[in-house]
Amino acid sequence: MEKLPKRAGISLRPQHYQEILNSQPDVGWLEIHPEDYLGLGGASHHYLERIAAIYPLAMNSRSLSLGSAESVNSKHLQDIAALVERYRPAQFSDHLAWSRWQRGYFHSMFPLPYTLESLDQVSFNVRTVQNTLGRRILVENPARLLSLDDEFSEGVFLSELVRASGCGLLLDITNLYLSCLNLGKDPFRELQQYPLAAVKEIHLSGHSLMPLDDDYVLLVDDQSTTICKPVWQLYREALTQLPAPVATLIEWDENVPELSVLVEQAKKADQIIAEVERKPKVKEVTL
Amino acid sequence: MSLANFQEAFTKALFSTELDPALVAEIPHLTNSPRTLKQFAAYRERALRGLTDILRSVYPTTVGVMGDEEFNKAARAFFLQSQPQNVDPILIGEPFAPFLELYPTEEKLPHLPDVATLDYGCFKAKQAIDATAMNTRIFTDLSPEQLAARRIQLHPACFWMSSPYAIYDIWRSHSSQFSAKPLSVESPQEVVIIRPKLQVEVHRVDVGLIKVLDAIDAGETLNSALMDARMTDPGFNAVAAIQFLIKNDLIISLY
Repeated sequence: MEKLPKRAGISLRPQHYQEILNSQPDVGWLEIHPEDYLGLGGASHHYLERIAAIYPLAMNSRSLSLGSAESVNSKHLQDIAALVERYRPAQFSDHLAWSRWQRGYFHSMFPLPYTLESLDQVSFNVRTVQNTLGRRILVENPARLLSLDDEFSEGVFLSELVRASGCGLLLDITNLYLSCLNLGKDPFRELQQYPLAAVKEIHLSGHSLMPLDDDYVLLVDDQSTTICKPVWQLYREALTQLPAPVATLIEWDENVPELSVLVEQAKKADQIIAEVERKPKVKEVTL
Repeated sequence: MSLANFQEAFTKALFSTELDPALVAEIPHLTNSPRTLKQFAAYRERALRGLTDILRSVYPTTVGVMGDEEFNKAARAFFLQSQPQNVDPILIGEPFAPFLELYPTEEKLPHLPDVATLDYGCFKAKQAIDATAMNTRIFTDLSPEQLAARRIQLHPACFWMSSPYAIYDIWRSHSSQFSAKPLSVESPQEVVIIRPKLQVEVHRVDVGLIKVLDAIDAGETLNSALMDARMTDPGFNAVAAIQFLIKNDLIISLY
């Protein structure tokens, strides 16, 4: 199991399989959603096996429903565990969200209130996944479209979750930015509350705008376009605050463009990583 | 208010037939603001669109036959009637073809459930476990009598169907820009769906081959399967049927 390099990687999408094999673009690693590989055979596994022999791989799950009030579905977790065993990704992550209730699976991630009860339940679910997969997982902050009555801020909730479960953090900079703007908060200030020492991977993506009324636009995380300037700025700020740079994903799920567009965005992220690494960190002196 | 209560109320509001402000108001932990209903609606729309997209990937020809708008409407009705119970698109999509048998389309489309069944077969073939066909030497090494007495294990990515409608022509007209729409859908056709390597293929075949595949699937010997086919179709060509199975890598073992 290779470690992810401290470089930018890109989402692996089926329309790019052949081109990636042929041209082997200069990106540090690739990320997949394991749900796209639940079928046992066929072209998707054919290509993934070949590509995984060339690039380090990360898995970003969307279906374990870590935020579910019920425990993780053991049959589905076994299916995911089989994929992890087959491809041995360098990192495995899922979201601080829920996507199932009782027997229903919704294929969409919903928010949960950040309460003590939620913390206990998510922590239990994360430990279940970690025990089954035999590895530490990363938990990703979601984009919130509406406000809930929380007992903790998201950053504090994640800090407590890291402490209680031993998981790492996948910091989705775009999600942080969207949540803050949707809920009227300052993303640069909120960033300070996240457990930055536990960040092992960063996600960057584009988003879309959904006007709700004349003076309010909802920012939606559909990973459908290039990354906007404020998200790049927040990314640079986050990198300067991390103890060391981490692997960064250019995530793209909808309206997937030509491979060169993803590679170009990855180059930009690599450039920022290099610039931040060159800049000497100012050590805080406590008097 | 517990997390379970929150998720139960959220789900109820999510899958109500229409967006219901009263149900959204019942969700605990939701901060009450004039925009809350619209923000919740964004989650609801996204969930239904995501589920619909899964069905669109499983049923591309059906989308073509129904048109985008009507397909999306049917998919929403399908999910609002019963929530999906699995993560795997194969299992999510499975009940949709039977659902279409009772779905009242605007235009009369009696062939729609069969087109959907063909789509579903293609999707299953696409994702089925890989298997290697038997070396063709085995067929020359066995005497005709020995071969006739054997049973066949078919490739797991092989499905077949008969329809009273021109499902092959319909499928072809929607999968290739060079193929014209069938003049009439009221013409029985049989198809075999295979994925010997990476690509799914749909072949139009005679009814005799369908009988052979049915019999093989039921565990009959090759001889018995060929006899079944001859009884159904007096013009059945046994040699061509066996050649079809071998040429398309459909035989993975003899026993």
